Amino acid sequence: MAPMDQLAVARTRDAADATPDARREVIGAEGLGRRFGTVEALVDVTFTVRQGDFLAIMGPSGSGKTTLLNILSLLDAPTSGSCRLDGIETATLSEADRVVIRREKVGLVFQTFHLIPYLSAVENVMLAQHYHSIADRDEAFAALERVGMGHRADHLPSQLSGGEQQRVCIARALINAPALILADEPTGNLDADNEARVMDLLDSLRHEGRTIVLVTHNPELGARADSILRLQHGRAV
Amino acid sequence: MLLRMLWQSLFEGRRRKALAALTVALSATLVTTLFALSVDVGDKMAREMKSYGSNIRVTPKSETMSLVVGGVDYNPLKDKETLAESDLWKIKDIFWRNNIVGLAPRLTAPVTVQVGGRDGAGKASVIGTYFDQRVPLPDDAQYRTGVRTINPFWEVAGAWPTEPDPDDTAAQVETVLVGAALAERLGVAAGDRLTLAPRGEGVTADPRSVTVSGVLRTGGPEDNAIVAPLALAQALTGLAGRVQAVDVSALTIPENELSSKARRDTGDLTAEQYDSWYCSAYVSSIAHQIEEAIVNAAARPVWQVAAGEGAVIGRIQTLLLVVSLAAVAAAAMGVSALMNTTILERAREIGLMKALGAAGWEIHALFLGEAGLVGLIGGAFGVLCGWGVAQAVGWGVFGSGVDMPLITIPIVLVISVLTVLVGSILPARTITRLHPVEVLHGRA
Amino acid sequence: MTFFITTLAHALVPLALVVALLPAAASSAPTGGISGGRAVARHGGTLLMVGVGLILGALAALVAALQASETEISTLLHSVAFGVGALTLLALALSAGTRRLGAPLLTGVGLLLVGVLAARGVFEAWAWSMDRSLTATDVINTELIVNCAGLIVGAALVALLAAVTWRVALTAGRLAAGLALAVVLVAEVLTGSASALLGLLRLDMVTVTSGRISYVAKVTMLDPWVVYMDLALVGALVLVAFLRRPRVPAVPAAASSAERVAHRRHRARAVGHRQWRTAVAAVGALLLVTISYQDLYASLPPSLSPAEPVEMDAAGELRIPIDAVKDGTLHRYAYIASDGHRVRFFLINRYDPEHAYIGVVYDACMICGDDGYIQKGDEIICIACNVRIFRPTIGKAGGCNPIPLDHTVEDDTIVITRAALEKGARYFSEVVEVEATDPVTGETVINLKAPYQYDYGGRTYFFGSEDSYETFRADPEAYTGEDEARYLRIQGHQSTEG
Repeated sequence: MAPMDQLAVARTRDAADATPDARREVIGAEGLGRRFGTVEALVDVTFTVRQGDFLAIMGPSGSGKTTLLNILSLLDAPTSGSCRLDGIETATLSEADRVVIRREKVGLVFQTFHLIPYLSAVENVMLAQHYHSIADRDEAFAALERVGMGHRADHLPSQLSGGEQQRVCIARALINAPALILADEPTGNLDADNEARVMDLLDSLRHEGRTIVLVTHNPELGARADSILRLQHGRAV
Repeated sequence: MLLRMLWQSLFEGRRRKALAALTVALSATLVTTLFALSVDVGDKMAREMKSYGSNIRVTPKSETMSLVVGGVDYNPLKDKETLAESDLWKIKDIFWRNNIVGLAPRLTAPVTVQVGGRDGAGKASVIGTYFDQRVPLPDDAQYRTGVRTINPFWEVAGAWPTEPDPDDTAAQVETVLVGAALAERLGVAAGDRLTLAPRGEGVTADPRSVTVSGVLRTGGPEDNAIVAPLALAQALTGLAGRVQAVDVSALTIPENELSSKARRDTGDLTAEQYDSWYCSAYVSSIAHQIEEAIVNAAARPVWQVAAGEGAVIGRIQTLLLVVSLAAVAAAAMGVSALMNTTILERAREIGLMKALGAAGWEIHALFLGEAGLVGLIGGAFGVLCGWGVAQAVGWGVFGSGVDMPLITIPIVLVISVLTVLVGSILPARTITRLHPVEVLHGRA
Repeated sequence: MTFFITTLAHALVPLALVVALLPAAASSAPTGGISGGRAVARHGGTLLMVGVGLILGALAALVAALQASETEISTLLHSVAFGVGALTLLALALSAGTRRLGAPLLTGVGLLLVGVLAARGVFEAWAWSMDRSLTATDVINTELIVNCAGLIVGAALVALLAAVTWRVALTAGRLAAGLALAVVLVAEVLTGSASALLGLLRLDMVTVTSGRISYVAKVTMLDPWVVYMDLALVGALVLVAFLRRPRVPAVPAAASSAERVAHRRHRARAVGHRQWRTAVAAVGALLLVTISYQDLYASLPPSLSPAEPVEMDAAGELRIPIDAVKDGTLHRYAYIASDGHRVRFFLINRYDPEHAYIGVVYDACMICGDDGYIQKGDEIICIACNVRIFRPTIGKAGGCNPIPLDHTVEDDTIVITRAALEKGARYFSEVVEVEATDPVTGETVINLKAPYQYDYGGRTYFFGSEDSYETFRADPEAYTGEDEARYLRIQGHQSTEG
């Protein structure tokens, strides 16, 4: 079945599904494992994230945080176990199908922002719209205003501070109303002031009912989440 | 959106792109030059083949048994065999007689020239021909023909010589034309008197004294000769009533498959094909009919371009193609290296696009589009430079400018873009292989 | 250039349409919705068949050229295409009834048809362009490059047409695509049957009957129009796809971000569909313009300038002042002979206006017939054989020169007699309706409607009844009176000057 059809089927199935917890399941990971050759980067990780949850994935470097993040953001596939994203089984999808699901379901926030250097702030947001469906400048501008960046919409990334770039990045992650926002050390490159602003922004998103998964090794940030998944040597502890 | 990205990313990595464009421009310059030169000749040949007028040279049959070794004509009978002047009217009596625009015989006499009132003598040849001679035909006693009809582009400073009437046997030739180059060498002008003495073994004829009526400029061998009425050359060679060759100008239809088949061998044609060929005004069928009309004559179409530049270009065109191909391949490899660096440098951007959900073709379109634009710019520069180089080569080698055929421009642009795209094939595979996770999580 | 594009279009557009319409016509869903790249992979079989067909067609052309067996091979290809086309039509009809059985059958037979049509297309393109070389010389020149570009552009346009029409046909739906495919197949089967029959007749494999000949003649006349009908079908598909285009629901002013995103998705879909439709329309229009330019304009023979009708004066003479015709252009006139033949002749100054030597000639050639002559710039050209006529020789017989017409010059007037024009009536085949007189009874008859007619001395006589016809036949000379016998072209040139 083509991914678009699958998306449609998933929507109807969710409505009929009567789970104990009435909120809809966004991530359903069961026994996730990922091997790189002989190295087990991730072993038997099971967890569920429901709509509106704010989950922090924590652990020291090399604990498998990034591997898990890549699987959740469909940039990588697990070698064992299953992972449902918004009702769609993603572990067995082909690369091309994962691209389709990713642009529909996942918003990514990076530690190093990753804005296209030759496009202005608003164009960077529009790029995400373009890959998803079609570019819409007004809507992209509104999204920038929402993160307090409306006044700098036509600036190039090189003309923006780190905190400003990260807010553009968040606006870009939100623009397609994804089921899941994945933030990878979003404040790793920011000073304390900007860190606070970005975390406040994430908090406000959570209060709007957005589902957020935050990957960090900073316990202070982790503490702001509803729940924490701790990884050690690729296992949940 | 894609176009906007294409435009804005075009100015990323300007130096490298300029370098790539330069590489393409260099190869495009070479390709333009070679193309301009060879297509120009090709066009001229095609025009000649498709033209509605042709020249035919009629010679005695034995002279066409060519025995040319290393550029030297070893035919022992050359210049000895002749045609009868009294047969010439038969050319105007063939099936396609109305398509014969005109004819001019030719007889060359080697002479020693002495300019009147000066000492010393120079060697030269007298070309005897018709200027506007009356040639009585069975149905038109007043028919006039000669070089003035068949070579309308001959320029004469002065007057054309007067020709004796064919019926008046006592009349003497009084006036001649002197070719421009010879006139300069001898230092003669219109009005000067020349004494022409026959040169060559076994010729016994009296020297003749004539007046120069004008100076002739043709761009051909006539520039180095004295061009006189036929009777004078006949007198100086002792070949009364004979001619060595006849140039015939005819209105023809363009060559096609049937006529080229006939040119190879009329025996290959079926009866039906032969009839249709014979009754069509191909230069080959007209030549064939002239051969039928005059005993012992051979008539050959004169393909000026095909025989001159065409013979050279045909042989070296393969070489040109190989050189062009090598230039293009070299440019493609250069572009490939530059492109590879570009893509590695912009790996994070590519990773991000993939993470945002870009399809593979969208990323390829961006990078190949950029490459194509670079190729276009380089190609445009190359066309300009190539045009200049072609002019330089034209002046240096042929002594004249080269008309660059317009088709060269689109062809070179297409070749340039293709060069860059071919060069980008291998680097573009990096895009496909690139995994976003490898580039996205690195620290800044 | 346009010749090669047009040839490829005529040969390959039906194939392009079959390739484009089959998936939609044989699909299980009423409206398809597959994304690009995967569908190409799904239709790898079709592409493979096209490739195999093209190679087979090229091989067939090669064999035909080497063995001079063009008729045999073309008949074979047309027969096979006719058979497979008819089968496909059956499968299409079946699939309209029972989808479960019909659709797979249609896909299978259709695939075969694609291969056969590709082979036939290549072969036909080769056969049609056989007499047309790419250039006059083997040295690379502009003409060669332009004509090669024409081949590439033509092939690319046809391929593009197939690709974009395929996508639009999916939107237009199974019914529309099926109907369009049916029309394409009927046209192919019909023209294919005629071409195959013609080949069989020429190979003496079926006996010649007048019914068969007239069937072939009638249907073959449709051949050049098939591609126009195909392109019209493509236009109709675009229209249907437009009517069935996805609509964009209105978005409320206070929409949530999810609603806005959904709206954007709808818009993207609508824009995508519009782009496909535009692409089809653009490619189709480009092809249409190119082939109609070539078919309806560029390939037409040059037409004659109008001929001025002439009337004789009472003495049976036509007087034309030299001043009126000495300007160097071709002055064409037409005289209607007693039995309706339209005799064209023209006058032209052979030299310059200061030296008027007027050539007076029939507008017909001993070799080429009555196609006539045209003036292009300074040149006088025989339309039939493209020969340039050396102007000073106009008025002389021989070669492809116009046939001289007897005339006299009185002072500054050219005088042509009725008798002279009547004698040349048989050089011309065009006959108009005139009133003629029954030579026996003297009654007036209409030449084209007279029940009896009889040729004598190159003249046609018309009779109102069988009686007068038989009377005339018994002793023609009693009635023909002073009528002189006419010239016939096969007699060759008559000397005109004593």
